[in-house]
Amino acid sequence: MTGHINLEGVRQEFWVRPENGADDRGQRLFVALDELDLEVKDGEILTLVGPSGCGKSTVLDLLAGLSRPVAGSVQLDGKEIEGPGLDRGVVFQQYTLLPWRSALGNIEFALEAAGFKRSERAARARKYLDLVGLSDFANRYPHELSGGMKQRVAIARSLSYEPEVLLMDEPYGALDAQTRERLQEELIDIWRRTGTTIVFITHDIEEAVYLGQRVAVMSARPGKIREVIEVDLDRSSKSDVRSTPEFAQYRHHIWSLLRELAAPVKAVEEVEKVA
Amino acid sequence: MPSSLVAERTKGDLNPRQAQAAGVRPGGRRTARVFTVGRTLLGVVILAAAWEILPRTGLVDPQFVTPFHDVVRAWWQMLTDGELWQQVRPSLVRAAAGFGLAIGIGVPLGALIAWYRVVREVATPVLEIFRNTAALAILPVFILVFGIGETSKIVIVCYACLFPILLNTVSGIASVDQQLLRTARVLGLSPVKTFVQVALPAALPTIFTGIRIAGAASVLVLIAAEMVGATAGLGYFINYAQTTYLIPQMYAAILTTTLLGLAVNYGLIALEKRFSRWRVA
Repeated sequence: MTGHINLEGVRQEFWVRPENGADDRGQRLFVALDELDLEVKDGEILTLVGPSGCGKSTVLDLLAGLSRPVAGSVQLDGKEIEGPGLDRGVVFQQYTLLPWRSALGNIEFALEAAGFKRSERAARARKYLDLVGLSDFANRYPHELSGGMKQRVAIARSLSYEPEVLLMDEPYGALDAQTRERLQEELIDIWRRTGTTIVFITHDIEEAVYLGQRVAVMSARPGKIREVIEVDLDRSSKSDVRSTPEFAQYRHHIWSLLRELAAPVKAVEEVEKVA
Repeated sequence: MPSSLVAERTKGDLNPRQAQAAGVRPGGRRTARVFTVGRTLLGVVILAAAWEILPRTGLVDPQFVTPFHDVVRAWWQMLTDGELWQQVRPSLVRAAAGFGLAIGIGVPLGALIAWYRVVREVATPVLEIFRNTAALAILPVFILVFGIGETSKIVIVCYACLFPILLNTVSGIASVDQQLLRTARVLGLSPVKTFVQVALPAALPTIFTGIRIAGAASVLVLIAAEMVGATAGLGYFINYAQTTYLIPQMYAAILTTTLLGLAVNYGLIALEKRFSRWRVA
């Protein structure tokens, strides 16, 4: 099993304009990530948590190959990531299903892109739809599915071509709390069955603790990894892990870290308001 | 007491999630449906009745506004003796040729403009200039260049149809959900495949709106063009009937253009429905 990710000294910049500036003058360089180091081990679930705007999604774009870093290296299994590839599957927050294709058709679409033979596609798509528990909804169009179902199809689609790594960018951010918990449990289950390495980005601390074998906490401006926390929880038992004292401790630790990180930024904003 | 728009739109009803959870669809009772159809017909009946009664009672001059039943009789007469078809056929051929040509040019050209940023930036001001030039204003130019034969009529219809199709194709393709394009890129789809499998289907509803606007425009512009320079066709005939004082026949021809417009519009709507079953109702 492969799927080992290594980010070293990663820096990413963008040209930005101040929000109230109408013209191109006043463009400046925005440093999204600086000196970011992160390692994701084979077959683990790593969650990346941080305040909004800290560059979590920028990290995912780099891993997905949608952009290249200004400096540093982004490697998968020792090879530099040069662009998008089928060794990585991506699930975004917004539903990215093709609305004119059925649930099954959407998975077949990915399989077609991945170069699977026509005869293989349908059976394979069904297998993965089954994995996310949606066998009965194969012929439904996205607008006929609930938000949770749509994300399940998106996950099935990303897993269908068996990537080494599954990259997830706040995939459950738009779902209601109950659906989110159920999908988190399902994801753990899927991860156990497939052994895929998962990088899961979220701003929800509980989600990060529940899912992550390790939780990487990011700080903002510029984004870098502040701390990586090993989470040792028994998620296999049927009891409510989220209500254990250990869970609360992890949660509180990360909460304090994020609070600490947010404080200076807030002070700056207040100064700006006064001025 | 008929309910006002406010009452109608704010009425408490099953919300979409309730409906989904129960696996049902909200909908009025069947009798309500029948009444809705009845009301729709009622509007048409009132219009026809006014057309019949106003000239008869002398409120308007029956010499200039023929009562409805005389118009219908004239229309039937023209239909049975083949006169109507003689005028409708050339109009149909011109409209279809111009309309078809506009689709053939507009969709690929629009796609090209939307797909490449440079082309889009160069083409947009030019398109704005042409779009804001009334098609009929340059009809004399077309007649000058293409003569008063079929070509000038087909060209003017094509010109009038082109812009709604072109502009809707541009905006449809240019505004494809960026998440869908990201998904395509992540899956390693080639630019051509991304266009064919993602951008084009996503833009189809918008393109179709343009096609429908163009369909309506094709009939309107053609009739006007035929009035100016033609020796056959519905527009020509309306003008001819008016100058030769064939008033009932004139109205019959006008009514025919209405029917033609309705047929084009509803035909296209039906076609659109067939191609967009996946859309939210």
